[in-house]
Amino acid sequence: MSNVIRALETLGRTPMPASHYAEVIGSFALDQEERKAMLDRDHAALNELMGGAKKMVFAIMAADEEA
Amino acid sequence: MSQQGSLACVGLGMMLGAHLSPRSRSHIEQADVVFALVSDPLVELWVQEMRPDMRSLQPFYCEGTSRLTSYNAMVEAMLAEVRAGRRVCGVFYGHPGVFALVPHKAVAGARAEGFEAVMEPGISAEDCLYADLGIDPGKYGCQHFEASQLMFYQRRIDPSAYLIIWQVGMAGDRSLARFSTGPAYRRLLVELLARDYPLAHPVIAYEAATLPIAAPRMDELRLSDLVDADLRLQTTLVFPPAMPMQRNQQMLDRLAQLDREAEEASAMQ
Repeated sequence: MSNVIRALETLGRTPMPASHYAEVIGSFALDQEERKAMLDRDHAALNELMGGAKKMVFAIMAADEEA
Repeated sequence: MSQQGSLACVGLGMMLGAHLSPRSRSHIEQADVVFALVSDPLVELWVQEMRPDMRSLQPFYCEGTSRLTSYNAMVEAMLAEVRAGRRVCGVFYGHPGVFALVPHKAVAGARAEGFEAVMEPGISAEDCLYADLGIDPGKYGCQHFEASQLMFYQRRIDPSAYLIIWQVGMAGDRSLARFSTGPAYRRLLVELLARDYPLAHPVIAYEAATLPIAAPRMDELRLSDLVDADLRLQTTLVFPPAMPMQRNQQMLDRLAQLDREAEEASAMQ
């Protein structure tokens, strides 16, 4: 698992006070750019670094199935 | 003897790492084939880390083609693997059965063909909304409508209850082939809602957080602001009640009469 995804999974699993955030980020094995994006809570930068999809479509509900 | 195919549609929840149930994770880990449709590219990478052979359902979308065509193709892709005797897992963001046609159709289709099919619930945007906004849907009642459906059909809005409108970014799209509509479409939605709410009525534009590094969007607007507001595919509108609940005195009187009759019957025994 990539270090960024592992870090995000750990953060998702572990509630913590905002005051501990920087310290916890410092404990992950991230490179400089990844760490900065995490500290800045920069979703777009993280996605760019990870090579995630540029656009996601996720509607799976049709308003009118007779359309 | 060939293996009997099966299908499990599971919910990932909304936030990466935070909401996935142990049972859903087991389905993902144990399936022969995993399909995924999620709302965030990093969440998709997370699923891919769990299952490097995961097949994204994103390529089935094509702007300009009815989403119903895409949805049917997604269902067929999953069912083809079930028919081939594989254990298939469809991974969907949030809850796979809430505002989600594809998982429901896939599960029903698999069962209709005699295969075992289950749906595992997940934490939906609706669940996050109640927690983030501090709303209890039981307090005044709560109506949910898909934005375009609200526009296409005659519906009765109860302004003494909460009103929640989904997929507002595509409000009024009759073609089902666009991923967004513009201010002219929203103006009609506002006009419709203004029959029940004053134009200055507060409305919350809500988006659940998908990453643990992010906060949910909870922008307070007015109904009249919606025409030009930044409303995306993932934006949900929340209308607080505009009037107090009206007591149904006629029904209360009839209930009181029933109580009196029960008391009298009890006293005679």
